[in-house]
Amino acid sequence: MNPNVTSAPPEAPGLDRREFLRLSGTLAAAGALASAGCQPPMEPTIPFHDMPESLVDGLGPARFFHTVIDGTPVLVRTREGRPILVTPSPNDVSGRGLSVRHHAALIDLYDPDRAHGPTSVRRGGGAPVSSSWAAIGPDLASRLKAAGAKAVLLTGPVGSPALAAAIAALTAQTGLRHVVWSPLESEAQAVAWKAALGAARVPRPRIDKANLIVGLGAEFLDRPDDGLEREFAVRRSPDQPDGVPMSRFVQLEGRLTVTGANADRRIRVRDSHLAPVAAAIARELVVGRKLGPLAADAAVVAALEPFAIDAVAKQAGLDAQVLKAVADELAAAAGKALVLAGGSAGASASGPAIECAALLLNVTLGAFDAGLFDEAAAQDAPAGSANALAALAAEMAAGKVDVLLVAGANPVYNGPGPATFADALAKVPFVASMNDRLDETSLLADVLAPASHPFECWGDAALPRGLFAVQQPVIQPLFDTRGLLDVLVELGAAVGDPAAMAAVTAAAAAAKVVPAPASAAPAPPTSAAYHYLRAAWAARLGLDAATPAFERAWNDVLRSGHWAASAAATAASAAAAPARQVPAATSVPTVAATAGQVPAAATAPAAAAQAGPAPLTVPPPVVPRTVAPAALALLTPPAAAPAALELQLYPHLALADGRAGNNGWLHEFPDPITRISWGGALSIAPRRFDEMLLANGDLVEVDTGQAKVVVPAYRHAGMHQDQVALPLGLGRTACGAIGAGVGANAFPLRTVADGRLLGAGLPVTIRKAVGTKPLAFAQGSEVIDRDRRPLVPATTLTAYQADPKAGTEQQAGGPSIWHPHEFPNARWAMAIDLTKCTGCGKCVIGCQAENNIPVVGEQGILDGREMSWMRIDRYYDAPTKEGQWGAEVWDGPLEVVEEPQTLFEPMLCQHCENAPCESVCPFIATMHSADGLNQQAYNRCVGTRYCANNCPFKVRRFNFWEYSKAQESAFFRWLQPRIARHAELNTRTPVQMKNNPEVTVRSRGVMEKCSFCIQRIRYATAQATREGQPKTHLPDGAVVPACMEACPTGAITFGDVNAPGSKVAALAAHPRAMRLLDALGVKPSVSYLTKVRNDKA
Amino acid sequence: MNGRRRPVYILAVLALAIATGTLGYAFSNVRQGYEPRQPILFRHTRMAGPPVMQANEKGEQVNVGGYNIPCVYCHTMPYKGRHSTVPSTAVCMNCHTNVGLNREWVLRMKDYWDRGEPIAWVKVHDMPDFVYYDHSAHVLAKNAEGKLMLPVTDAEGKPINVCENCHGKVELMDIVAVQNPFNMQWCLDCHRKPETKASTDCVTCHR
Repeated sequence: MNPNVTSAPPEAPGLDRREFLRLSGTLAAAGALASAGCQPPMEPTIPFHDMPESLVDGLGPARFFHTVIDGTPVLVRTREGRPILVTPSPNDVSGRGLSVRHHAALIDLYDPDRAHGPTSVRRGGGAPVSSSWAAIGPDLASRLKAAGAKAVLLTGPVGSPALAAAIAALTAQTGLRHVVWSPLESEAQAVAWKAALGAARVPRPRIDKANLIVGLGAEFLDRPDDGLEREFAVRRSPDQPDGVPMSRFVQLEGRLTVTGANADRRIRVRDSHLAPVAAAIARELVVGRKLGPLAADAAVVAALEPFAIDAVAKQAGLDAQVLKAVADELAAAAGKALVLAGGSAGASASGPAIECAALLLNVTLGAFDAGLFDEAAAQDAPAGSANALAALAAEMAAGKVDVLLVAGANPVYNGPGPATFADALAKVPFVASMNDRLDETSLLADVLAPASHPFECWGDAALPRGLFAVQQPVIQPLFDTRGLLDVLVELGAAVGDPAAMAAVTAAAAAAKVVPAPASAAPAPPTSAAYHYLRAAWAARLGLDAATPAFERAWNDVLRSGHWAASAAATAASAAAAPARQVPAATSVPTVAATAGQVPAAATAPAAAAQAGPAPLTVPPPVVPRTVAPAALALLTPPAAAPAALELQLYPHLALADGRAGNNGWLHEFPDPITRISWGGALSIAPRRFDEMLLANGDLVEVDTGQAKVVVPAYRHAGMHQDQVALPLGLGRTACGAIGAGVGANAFPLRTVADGRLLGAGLPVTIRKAVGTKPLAFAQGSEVIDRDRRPLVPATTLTAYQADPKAGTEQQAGGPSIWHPHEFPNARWAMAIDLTKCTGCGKCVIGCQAENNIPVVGEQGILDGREMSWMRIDRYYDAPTKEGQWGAEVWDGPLEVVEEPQTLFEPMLCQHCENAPCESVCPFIATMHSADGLNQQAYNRCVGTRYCANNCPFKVRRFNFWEYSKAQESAFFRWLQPRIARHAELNTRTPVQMKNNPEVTVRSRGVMEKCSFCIQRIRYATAQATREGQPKTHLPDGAVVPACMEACPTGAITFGDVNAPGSKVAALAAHPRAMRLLDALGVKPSVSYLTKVRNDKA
Repeated sequence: MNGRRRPVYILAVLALAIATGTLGYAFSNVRQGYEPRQPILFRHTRMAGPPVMQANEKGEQVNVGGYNIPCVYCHTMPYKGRHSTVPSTAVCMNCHTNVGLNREWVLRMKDYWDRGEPIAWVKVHDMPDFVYYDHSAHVLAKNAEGKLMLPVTDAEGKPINVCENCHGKVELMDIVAVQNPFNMQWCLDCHRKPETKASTDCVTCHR
């Protein structure tokens, strides 16, 4: 400043008048702007035009529907007509189980990539154009009539009697041929049983009655549709009542499966050696110890003679003593021992031999006499599918097929190699697909007449134990699709099938009935399938369809979900079936019927009793005494020089045959063993993996001679040294935006030999290829040293019986400086029995469905940003050496991962009493509630993420992105391409319809975590208020969180630990109970009960 | 000097303005007095209000007031579920198939019914989406002695409608307006009353 200029006016320090005015103006403008934006937005509230009388808002007495999907009875919870949750049917006694695929079926239903209506595909002639049912239906019928026996219907396995009848009628009327293609059926059991007993009416094993279970590559926990996991868990507790011993499970297998991971003793045997090893055990029992009725059977003795245990063990690279010990165990448990085969190893060339050996062992051990098997199945196990498909392809190629209808089968994708089906399709003049979308097969068809999702259409199912169930729709079709049964019935009517014509006439009559606009009575269904089904069920129930008695019986079936062929059979199977861990009355608050609010008390037996004489009889149990020579011929001595390396192709645990290939939940579901989501990898034994100098994700070329595929490699603990494994069900090319191109398709690696699909024991060479594909692991660590990190309580039965607290040892902690919380009324808590937990992961999907958890996509998992509130950690237990491991061993030393002791631990928010997250939140967005919950207020959370950093369990999840909102801005999509992917995964209409309206859909920048299903707790307390009950302590079962509801084994118990006599209080006080990280003084509300391995041979 | 400092000032003032706006919004009474217009001019005074008998031009006593219809005749669910529910058009048609067919707004309502189109009412008591309010848990809440917690009598001991405690005397409103602040502070005022002892856990309302 010029010192000479003295006339300058004195300035206010820092602010002159003009500046002040300018800033005040800005302030005023900003204030006005802010307050102008403070009006609440105008929101419409649109009521029903005519509200159905039985509807109550909110969770209400929520509406539940029994229905069937893929032959499995389920209970579907709906809100305002939208299915939002699939749970196990609580009163199902058929023994079927749900797989994760069933729990995730909602995503298939709401899949925007399904065909939106009939489509004219114009193969090779341009893009598909939309067509109409009016055009397609008559065209199909006339073509069928014209083609006669040169028309073929190709379907997946048909489990519905009504569908089978409709197909049979079509066949009778037009000469149409029906070919079944079941891509995952190894048929080993059918072949072995047919050879041995003349019929393959394979009964269900009663795994809950066996003291000793020996699995020959069995995968009953990997394929839970059979429902054996529930029955398995019944005896998997060291605290059995009434002196019943805990069952022991010995598994022989090549790849570490979920089943093998749950075994008490696991013996590594590669697939091609399973048959001789099993035969050697049988020889030891039959010939060596003269056990059982077969010891006197010269043919059996002769057939088993070549399998000397020492020679076989040597060839299989095993210690003969190990096999002898198994034989010892079996002999000791005769009458209470069960041998199970099946699984992926059954798809090897020696699959029937494994089944035959299992049959010999079961006969020898008296398993059939002891009632360790249910009554025989009503029908033979399916067989001949691979042959039929190959023959069909040959005929098609030779021009002998004029019309091909494909329904629920996708052989272009999952046919065996070398791929010929696509070429053969080109030779067929007219191909119509009734799959649900433009998939690989439909793209090569002429027209796509899209089938509805099972939740949208009528059907039925034949269940085990002589039970039948109705597949009733739980929602109107979302798109212009029709149920498969509808289409076939209408086709049947067009070609002159009287039953179908009657149904179509009845449907047309129903369509003419126009209900009065204000009447509450629902319009009668106008679907032809509905009327066809009713007629079929009238015959089944032995009632006239026009009588009120039938109406009652039919409604009872719809309400209870199933019907038994005879009252006696129902009583027997109900008595025999183990009680569900989640009783019917507790797993759902109120089971509302479709027609009105009638409680589900009147179940099938009553219906059956009303229904009069049952037209069907349940076949008696099979008790084979001997095994025919034809089956013994299957037992061939192993080849002198087996392949150096063999490949096993196993169905992906979530995706199975790839049908649900566009399901984001299933892709994101981490495999329980490999922990890989979004794709799969070649599992290689750790030693071989290290020798090949591979790292997880390095690409390798898998060459079976017939086909090659390049896939990432994975160091699979517990894998047999001479075996590699690759998941099936991935690598879809035409399923939709979500699943296309995820993983590699392994189906072409399979071959057909002797009429069976071979998917295991395939000679293979693997070579390191160039490049790496990062694997989306949901978990980083493998091995746990429980001395240093006592995070999973585990022990053996012997140790447990010596000291009930064995395995729960914790590190010592310091004194707490916190004041203890007071819980005057309820205190919610959970107990998880790790002995019962099989690691199946259904709780993960159940939680995802209930709590609106978004799908983050592969990149999200790679970034470690998965959102699942519930996860199942998988650890391999490091054995202690002289008390301790010297160093951290997270990378998995060979001695641990070659013979792993797998531990599964469901991990969710522990709702710690002294929660570390609560004390660090600067915005008090997370704090403790008076009933013991660690609560998270999304609207207060600003996303500092301190809480997640301070959580010792890593259960808090942060919304790095706005998964739930489609980001329309092209700029942001350009800036972050993954935003477009998130929108693809989560926000394409109608997928939002799956959202549970009782749970906030979280937005970007907030932290979230397990809330113990607070919405269900709140519903239960409000319900107590409504019913005038005290709500300080709710009874057991009043609140069932989604994970507990989904758990098939009853491993999860939830309740009020302060309520006198509550189950969870007893479990929390159990000597086996351990609260994690006690040393930190966090005091979790979740108790883990020790994983006890039954080491009592 | 001013030139250099100006951006700092502007930022500071803007931040202050935003903070003022946010806090002002948080503590303001933006909901109270909210009185949106509805697609149908439905007058609660006519349906739910007290009857007022008056002589018409012929000297007959006619009701020019309301019909005293109880709230739950139309809003059916407050005792059963979370929402009290806006009535479906079918509820209107219970009577209006026969009566009031010379009135403009009744006919407009009937138009909706005939078209089969639900009426898009405007929410008056519009809580934020992260608030899970349960009507039934409030109107049925009882204390340890089994007495209803929400007052059912006014200060003079005259019986009142339980809904009135929050919604005011709707039966006297031609156009329904929000009578209370309906913000969290207001909720907590009640929940914290010693005689109520209602839960003040976050997850009581937010989940």
